[in-house]
Amino acid sequence: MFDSDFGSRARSFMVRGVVVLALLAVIIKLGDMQIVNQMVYGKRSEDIVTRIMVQEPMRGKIFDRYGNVMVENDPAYSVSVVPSDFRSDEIAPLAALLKIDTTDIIRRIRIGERISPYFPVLVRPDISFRTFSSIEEHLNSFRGVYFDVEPKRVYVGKANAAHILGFTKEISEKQLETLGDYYKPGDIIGYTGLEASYETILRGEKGYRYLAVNARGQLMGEYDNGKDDVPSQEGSDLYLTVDDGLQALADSLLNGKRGAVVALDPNTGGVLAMASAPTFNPSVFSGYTTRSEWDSLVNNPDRPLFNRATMAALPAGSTFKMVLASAALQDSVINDNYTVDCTGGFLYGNRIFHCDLPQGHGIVNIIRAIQVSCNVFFYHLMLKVGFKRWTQFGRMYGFGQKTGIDLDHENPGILPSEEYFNQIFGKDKWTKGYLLSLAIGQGEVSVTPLQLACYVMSIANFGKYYQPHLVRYIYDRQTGKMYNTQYSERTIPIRKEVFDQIRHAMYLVVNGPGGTGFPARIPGIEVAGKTGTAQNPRGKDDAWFVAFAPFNHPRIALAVLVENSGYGAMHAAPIAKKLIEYYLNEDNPVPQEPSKGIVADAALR
Amino acid sequence: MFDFFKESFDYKTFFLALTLAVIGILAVNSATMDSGMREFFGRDILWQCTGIVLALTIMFSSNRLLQNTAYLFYALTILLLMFVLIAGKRVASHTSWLGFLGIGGQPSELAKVATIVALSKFLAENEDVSMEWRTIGISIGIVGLPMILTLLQPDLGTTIVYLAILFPILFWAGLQPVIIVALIAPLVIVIAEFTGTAVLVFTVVAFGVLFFVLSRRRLFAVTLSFVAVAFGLFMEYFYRKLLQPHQQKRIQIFLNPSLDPQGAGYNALQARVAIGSGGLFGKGYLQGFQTQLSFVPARWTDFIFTVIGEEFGFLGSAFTLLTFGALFFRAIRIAELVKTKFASLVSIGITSVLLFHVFINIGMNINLAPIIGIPLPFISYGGSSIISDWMMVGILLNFYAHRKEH
Repeated sequence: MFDSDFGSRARSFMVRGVVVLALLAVIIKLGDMQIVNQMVYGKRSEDIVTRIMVQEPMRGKIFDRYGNVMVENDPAYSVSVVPSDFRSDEIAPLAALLKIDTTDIIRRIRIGERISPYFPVLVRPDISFRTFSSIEEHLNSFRGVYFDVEPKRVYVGKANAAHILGFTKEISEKQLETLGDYYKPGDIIGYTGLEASYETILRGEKGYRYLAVNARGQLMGEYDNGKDDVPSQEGSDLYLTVDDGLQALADSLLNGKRGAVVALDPNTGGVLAMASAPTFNPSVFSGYTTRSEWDSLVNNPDRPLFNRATMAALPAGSTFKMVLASAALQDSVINDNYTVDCTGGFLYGNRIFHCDLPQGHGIVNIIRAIQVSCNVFFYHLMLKVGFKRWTQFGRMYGFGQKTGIDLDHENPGILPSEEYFNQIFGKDKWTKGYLLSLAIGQGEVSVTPLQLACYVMSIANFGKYYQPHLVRYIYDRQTGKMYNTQYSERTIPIRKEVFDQIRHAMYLVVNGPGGTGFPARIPGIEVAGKTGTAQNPRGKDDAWFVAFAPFNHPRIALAVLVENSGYGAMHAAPIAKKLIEYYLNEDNPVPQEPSKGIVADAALR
Repeated sequence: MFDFFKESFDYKTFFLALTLAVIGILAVNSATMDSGMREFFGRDILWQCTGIVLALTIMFSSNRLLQNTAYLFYALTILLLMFVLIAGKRVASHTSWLGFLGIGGQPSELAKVATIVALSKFLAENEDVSMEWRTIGISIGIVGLPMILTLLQPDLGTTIVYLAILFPILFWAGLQPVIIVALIAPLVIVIAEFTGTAVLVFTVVAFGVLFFVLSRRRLFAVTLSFVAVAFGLFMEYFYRKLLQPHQQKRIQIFLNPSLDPQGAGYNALQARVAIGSGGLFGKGYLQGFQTQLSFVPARWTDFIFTVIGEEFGFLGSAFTLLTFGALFFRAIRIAELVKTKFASLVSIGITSVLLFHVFINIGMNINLAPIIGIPLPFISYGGSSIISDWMMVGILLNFYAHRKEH
């Protein structure tokens, strides 16, 4: 069929054929547009041009573990301006009508023009229906001014849960530059919390409406009966592991304090509650946030926007002692026959390291040392176990690294090692005295409340480390399917007998004679815990308490931090007690499986 | 002199190109009428005149000059492309502009011509090894180097143009159709993947059938089909599993701009309305409502065809296309007339590059092709492209003048 020579007749025929076909395709398409459909296009062109209005998608809702709504959307009105149609002498009257600054309108138009003078830029979001109906008539007299219904976030749960949920806000100029093509000025975007980390899942996809506008920029109605419109796609819903009621209690217990609470389900790693105080009201940001409201939150010295549960890295005090106890028992460096006589202090080099009890605890073994929180015992133990193993066990429990929770920002904390000390102090510039502080969770070691809760979780469940998480299911409104989220888990290589001893000691902390955690004792519920009091260079000590309950089949593991308050037993343990009491006595103990049924595992993150 | 024009001047090619240049000048005049870019009109005339002088100069040059300097020309443009990457000015997020003494230019336009010439020289002068794998490999290398440099700018549109150099010239040089199909197959499979799984399956099957029809050697056809299926499966995996949803979306928007009505789709919609409203006769010169009221962006460069479509209607559009068609047929005729393989290959390369520009540029105005910013030859405003278009005309004129020489 083909002559394989260069420039053959068959080839030249084919080359001509390609030219004819290509040009014919173009001419046929032109004929279709210009002759067959000329009327359609002609009408569009005559004196009508199109303007595109963005149809904001409905953002996904957020539910708690029992299916209670925590966040949903309310309609609000918004007003936009098309820069190319808008006359600058109308800025002042429009600003007056919408009750905003003229400088604000000018700034917004200037940003919008950079993208296109033909697209509407948002000038005023969040206008209530009442206000809107009173100004609608006036708005129609402006040229190039449009309005639309736009969903707005409302927080309907019992809990404030500001640091879990995060907030949505109008996109900043900096985000516009970095986040790429999808976002346009005036768009609402998740700033913090789940709103930020699940932004692409929650937000949905924008739709577009084509409006017909005449040559004088006045609205003529739907363009081509909406044939070219692209409908918006609703965002997906999140079903959390969080217990709204427990979260509300955690929020209220921290009220007026600085601190954090993290409560986990030790069987899954799901977060039952995560609170940080001081907090803020996320609804301040949905809709129109005034400059002063924003400034007062950002400039507050107590940093209410800062999520202490995942971001505050502090020494954990005595709650950290189980790391060293695990190492000693697992390595069989000691057993529970090994005792130390605590006289209230420990001389090392030329320095005395004190115990909490000035007169000393007397003769203690490891169980008793945890129960009464004897520092001297752990000073001895640290020298026997060694720095290296301590660091390794700390790492097994997840310290010094991010937990991988599904929030955007997390502090990894610091878990010192020999290399770390050599690096920050210089080789041979540090002494073993530094280790004694580490033994009791003081000094260079720092942890987040979330890390500490995960550590208690894995003690409670005999060494299972579940990746902590907030989202359990994702409901995709486009497909109508429920997706299961996937998280990692690992087993900490420590023998069951070691956990038995440590758990027993933690039981005695709360329930035994002389146990430091007695304020967390609950009649009818076997609580195990550990107190911690960490020195804070800025004021009073930080109070810590970690706990899990019930002892035999734990359903909750938690860490409580109250900054600059004093003893952990006094200030943190009572909070833990109330949370455990509430959660285990709740009416609704079985989490509701979503009614839609789970069809697949999510591969969304 | 008179004898020369009677015997050696290809007035058909020249006047066809001149007609297109005049259409271009008229269109640029209309497009810039009320735009504040009025100086483009004068500059357009200046560029067209410079181009004509250049074309005539090339025509009068000796018959071996181009072939002898082909590799030097190629090397120089490669150096320029590299220089652009290092020192280029960013215009509309590409780094393809070079500015010297106030004169800007895009070496990538020149590099197209140089690549045609270099590839043709290589294939013409290696007749004994004709169409071995080594020859194909080197050919891909010659085209691939400027392609990669252009992609790095990053200018995807011009990068794709190089494919319109490689395949037609290889085809004309005598490469078996089955090899051409095998080389094009991966590109088509990639596009098919982005369009949808059903299209992908159909495409892979179609290639399998083509391989069996085109190749007499069964084993070879089986191997090619197997590779096509494997590649298809890999692409499916790559697209569904490795690409993020927003990356998938971006590719879909590239292939179908109406998915992004605020970005690329807006231009496409306005362009369609302008052209469609032109009707059979057009609204009359300078009477285009859409283009005059500046609803069509970049209407003197990538979307210049909207001016022709709206103001001169279907008749004007068809006339423009037929003029292009006549020019392409003339260039193919020259490829057959000339006595050297080099000249014949270059003529086909010029034809296909120009045809590709015309098809894609007008295609993106009428929703027939993705929006990749490449100019309409002779008509779009732009110095580098007008100069390189006329350079190609000059080369054709030169070949015609020397068509009887070996």
